[in-house]
Amino acid sequence: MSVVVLKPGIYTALYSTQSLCLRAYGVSPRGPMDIVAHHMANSILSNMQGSAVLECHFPGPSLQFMQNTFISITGGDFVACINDEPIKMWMVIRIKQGDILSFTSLKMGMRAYVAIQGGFVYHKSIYKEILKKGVRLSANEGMGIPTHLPNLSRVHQYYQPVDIIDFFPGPEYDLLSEESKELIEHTMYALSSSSNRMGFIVEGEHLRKHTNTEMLSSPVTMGTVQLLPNGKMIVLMADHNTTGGYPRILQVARYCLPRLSQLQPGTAFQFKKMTYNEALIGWKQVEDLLNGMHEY
Amino acid sequence: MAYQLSILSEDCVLVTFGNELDIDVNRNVIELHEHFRKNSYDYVIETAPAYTSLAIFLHVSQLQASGFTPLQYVQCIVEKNFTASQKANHTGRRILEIPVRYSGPDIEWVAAHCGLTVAQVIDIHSRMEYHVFMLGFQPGFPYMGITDKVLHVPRKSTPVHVLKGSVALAARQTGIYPQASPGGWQVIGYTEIPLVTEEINEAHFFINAGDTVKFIAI
Repeated sequence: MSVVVLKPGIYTALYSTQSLCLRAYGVSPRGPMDIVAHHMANSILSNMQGSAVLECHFPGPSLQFMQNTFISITGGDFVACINDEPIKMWMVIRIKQGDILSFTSLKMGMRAYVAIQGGFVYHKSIYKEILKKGVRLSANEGMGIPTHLPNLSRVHQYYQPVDIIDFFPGPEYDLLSEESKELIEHTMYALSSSSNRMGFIVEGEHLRKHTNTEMLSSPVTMGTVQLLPNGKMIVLMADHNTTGGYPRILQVARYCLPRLSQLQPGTAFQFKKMTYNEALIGWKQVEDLLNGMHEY
Repeated sequence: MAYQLSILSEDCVLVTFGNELDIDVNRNVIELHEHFRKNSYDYVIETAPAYTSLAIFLHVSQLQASGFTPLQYVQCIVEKNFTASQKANHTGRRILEIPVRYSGPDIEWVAAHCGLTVAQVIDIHSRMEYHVFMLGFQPGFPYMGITDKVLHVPRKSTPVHVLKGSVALAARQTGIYPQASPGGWQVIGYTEIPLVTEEINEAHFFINAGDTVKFIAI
């Protein structure tokens, strides 16, 4: 089963959720930005969880399928089309040999996911591999016709509200002045357009440390919010370096990261403080949602 | 040496041994990391050492189902299996020789800044053995030190393009860029030794945290 890349799009790449487990060697885990959309893209097709899925930014890629298959589109809405006819997201799409997938306009969100029945064949490298024109992707063997119908109303509920991002204190939270701690929760922020998979720069009131301690490089992870020397914050995302020398003032709740990854630059949002335990509970709720179990 | 447990994220617990650039503090971090590398635990995905702390990444959902909190779980393992020590035992550490052509674009600037001749910079940099504190920033980039006081130099205020294999200095550290990239450290030389090699599904890293490195001028 092969898929020809007619147009590569911008920063289109395959992502699986398998960890390379090489953080100790300075290798970023580099998973998908929106793990809810990634998970659902596979669920819809009854693929093995974690299978490689294409993550697309706008403008997205144009792909031609050389055999009959099934695909699904989740995440951001880039008005996906097959042979120039718009198709629905979040469901099984039947593909006939020769069909061409393209994305025609950025309606909502920032990252769209394309999964194929059986999952894309993928060897994860320690270095990033962006899709190039003319490359052929292939898929593992699929089995029969996917019939899984996930509870999509709950998935759509997950993405609301878009404008509140929960956090708990990071290891260096107390380096912030009291005024800055207040400011964080009472400011409307927006993501800078220079945000990317490595980190989201947050535009808004500048913050201040109450001491001027230099920091040795320490472990960081996706969701770690660093205070930059210029007083701005950066939220580390999927391509984060494994260590960082700036104060880790906040940690964005993991369950908010998929929602945050779909936030368009310029859209106003607020930070809201919670406890680590609340964040753990929130994450469990999202996992249950993805596993199709409880109320969300 | 006391250690402290704290939270980085839902799925990551930090074990911190100190807050200064200190080889003995770091050797404790590396020793604990080695323990996790050699022993597998059901809920531990991986560990990663930094200067003064070890990050422990966990399968948090499975762990929660077992009734433990991440902190309790890590505390249990560390208390049972690890004794921090003032002078951490580090037998079996590897000493790696790195041949260097000391012709980096910044070596004259470094010499002038430090009040030395270029020959003296080469001599001082290459006569010490350096402890590798951690890898970070890029795959395989080693943070090594502590350099001789006379060689302490600031980072550049703006990063420039740095060639693959660049041997560099910043603050009290020396490092090697495994790949070309933007970089802010002062480049004093180059090595041809590949720090990272990758084949399908397997990557090899020539220098690991906890190693000792000696530069040889060629």
